[in-house]
Amino acid sequence: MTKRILTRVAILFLITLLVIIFRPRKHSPSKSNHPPTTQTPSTPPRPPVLADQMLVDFGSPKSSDQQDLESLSTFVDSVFLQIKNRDSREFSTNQDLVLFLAGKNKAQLRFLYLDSPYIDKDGKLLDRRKQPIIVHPRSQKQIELRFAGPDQTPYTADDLLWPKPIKT
Amino acid sequence: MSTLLNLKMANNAVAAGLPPDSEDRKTLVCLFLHGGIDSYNVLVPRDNTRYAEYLETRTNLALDQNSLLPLNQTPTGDGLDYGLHPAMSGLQELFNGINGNASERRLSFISNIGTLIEPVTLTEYQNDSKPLPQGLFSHFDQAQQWQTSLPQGEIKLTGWAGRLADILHSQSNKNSQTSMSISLAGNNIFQVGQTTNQFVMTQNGALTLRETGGTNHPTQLKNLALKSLMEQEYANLMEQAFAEITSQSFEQQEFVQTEFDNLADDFTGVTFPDSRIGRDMLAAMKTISLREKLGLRRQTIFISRGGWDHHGELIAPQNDMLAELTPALSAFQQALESCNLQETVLTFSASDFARTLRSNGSGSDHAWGGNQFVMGGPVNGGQVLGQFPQLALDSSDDVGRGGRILPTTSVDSLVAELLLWFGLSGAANFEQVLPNLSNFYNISNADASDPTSLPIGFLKPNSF
Repeated sequence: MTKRILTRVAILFLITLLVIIFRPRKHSPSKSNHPPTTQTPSTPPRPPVLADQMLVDFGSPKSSDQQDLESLSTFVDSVFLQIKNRDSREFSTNQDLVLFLAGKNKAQLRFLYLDSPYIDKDGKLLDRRKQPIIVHPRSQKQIELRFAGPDQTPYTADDLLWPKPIKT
Repeated sequence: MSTLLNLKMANNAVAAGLPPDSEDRKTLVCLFLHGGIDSYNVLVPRDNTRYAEYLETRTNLALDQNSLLPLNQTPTGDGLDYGLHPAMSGLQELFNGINGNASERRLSFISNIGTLIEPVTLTEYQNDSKPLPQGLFSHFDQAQQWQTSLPQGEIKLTGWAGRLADILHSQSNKNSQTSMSISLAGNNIFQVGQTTNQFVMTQNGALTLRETGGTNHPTQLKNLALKSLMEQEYANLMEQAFAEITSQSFEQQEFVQTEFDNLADDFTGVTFPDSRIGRDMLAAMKTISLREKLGLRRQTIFISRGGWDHHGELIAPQNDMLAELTPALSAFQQALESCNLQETVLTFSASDFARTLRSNGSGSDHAWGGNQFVMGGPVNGGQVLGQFPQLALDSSDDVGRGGRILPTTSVDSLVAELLLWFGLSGAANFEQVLPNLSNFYNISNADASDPTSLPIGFLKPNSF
């Protein structure tokens, strides 16, 4: 019995010793024995924004036109719920909507980053075929989103619309 | 609710105690072009320098310079050379003079007009340092603001024609029980007042319970049931009163309808085009002709033609729509002339906004200030008024995103001059109808003998 206990204590001692020897250490340049090297300062991780979660599959092979439209519209809806004090002047075009989502809104809240893969160098939000999404201001608070669809030409029969047009 | 409101107004629709024949009668006709007409392809610079600028900006949306219909301005216009869209020859004639007679000009343009709370410069717009209309570039808000002249919004919105009726109806239509606000486009905000509302009509006249469609037609059965309900005797006083009022309403609708039907479609000697807008303009003409029988000295009429939101394609659809619109307007003015009513009716166009100067591919998008026209005998025709903007992209008139032009003339200025002609007087009344007017114009400066003293200057001298 005593022998078994002593064996277990010895094993635990050995494990603890190994952990102490091989534990990760913080890099301390001043105490380093290595010569100083030129390093790019690491970018601090940026805080996650809503688009990181809601548009994670936007434009990817995992998604589709319709799913992209749904995720984008849900995203915009979610933002609009948070920014009640808004005016169509702030998001009346594609580029203005992007700026609005990126923080140019009355609450100065950021919901996406301008270097997101679905935003081009001109600051336009693109669909999976790299066509600009069309923003159509309907009222002071609401917009319509239009994807050009597979033919990549807007205002044709294969366009995708949110909200869906009311059939009469 | 709208049915009840309509019933309430219909209840007043009966001719009673006509004013003396010597009393003047005036009608203001609002032609609302819903969707935002691309008015920089309606009124186009025609001289080589400005046309080159227009062409460079509009690219594939530019009309051919040689296709533009030349406008011959009077010396009181802005002195520049313009052409009209090639599908608008009827309006060209009204601008240059009926049958080539330059003394009978009936149409002028107001350039770069739009919704404003107060004058705004480009710097003030960019710095957000002046109050701006709510919901800029959006259909709903901008169409509404043209009709309310309250771009700052209000909790209880009324239209400027409604507020006008609140003041004028009891003054000018003393012996009439008819609403002075007639809509040929369903319910609108334009004619909603605090105490008055619009009377909705259709191209075929009033809304009645006439039996159509055969004995078993659902509408006929419904109408019969409704009439039966109205004819019952009710012990409850409220129920009885409601039944009587409703019954009277329909009797009066019938009265309006009978008078309307008594006018043949060619009663003016002018044939109106058989298009939707043509039939609307004919119905407006009939309604104007009934002013006396309805005991109205003052009347506003609201007409709407939608479909101008040409994002997808501009050139062909706008051409088709202008080709439909122009003959209807032309016939309307011609009919007024043939009935010698031309001095008593003033028509003006309005639209949500103008459109971007830059092409989005084949169409154009929502913008702001644009060009509108005023038409009628009281108009000192043959003028382009206001300040026509530079059409270069990113000019000092452009608020950005492809040529969205900052208006230099306010809707209030247009409305104020219309109301001067219509007979509104007194600074307090103008304040009630147009709360923002003093930001643009001091109404006490208006001198009927001097058009240059007026908010814009499109009225003939001594026309009010």
